[in-house]
Amino acid sequence: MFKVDGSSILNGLPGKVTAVSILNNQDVESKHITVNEKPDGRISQQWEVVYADEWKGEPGKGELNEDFGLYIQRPFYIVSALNDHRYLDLISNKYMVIKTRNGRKTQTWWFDQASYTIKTKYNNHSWDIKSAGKSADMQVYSTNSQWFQIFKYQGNQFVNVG
Amino acid sequence: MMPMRRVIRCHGGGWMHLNRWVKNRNDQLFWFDEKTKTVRSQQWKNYAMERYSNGGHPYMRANSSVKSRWW
Repeated sequence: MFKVDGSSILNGLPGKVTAVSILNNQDVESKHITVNEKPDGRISQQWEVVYADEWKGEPGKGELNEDFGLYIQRPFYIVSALNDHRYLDLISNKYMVIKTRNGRKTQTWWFDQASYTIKTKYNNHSWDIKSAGKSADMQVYSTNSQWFQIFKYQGNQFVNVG
Repeated sequence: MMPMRRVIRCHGGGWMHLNRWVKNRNDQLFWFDEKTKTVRSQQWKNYAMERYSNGGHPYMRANSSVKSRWW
């Protein structure tokens, strides 16, 4: 038997309580659900019970994804707040840099609801931290929706949330 | 509440996996059964959530043999 306690789903006898969690704490499709860890409040143990009659579903094209702070499939530029207000762009059609506005598709971006990634208009590849997240450099790469491709727009910052 | 906001899905074999939400997908819906105090699958209504192998296995699954025990 299970009980919902705040954002945790708990199981077990007193003194041996465990929390429903995700195998290896990975936000990856088809990961097993586990129930053998002590509750510690980590995000992989946090759940939201959403009643089906109150579930709004996912936003559609042109609508705001409130979690990610971006409108779906609505092209946008990203302009640096530094003095020259350069645009986020690509060199070699892959590596992210800032450049003056030039009208190329490599300066136009859009948010893809299906993959939760930000894509370039140039070839629809997604933002990506190089070397599967082990590098400090950014590029665009074929979409895989791994943690190193997931970014939210919060305040005036793009934050990796993987 | 991980970033991708995936939901729990009860697969045919009873195993519980993390998956993207799909509209009208009953195997992603659950309901609380007051009589047995268990959480049931909407797809397989006689299946209840449990910790596999009478609580001896780390994985969660759904089972049609509803025992209402601690696991």
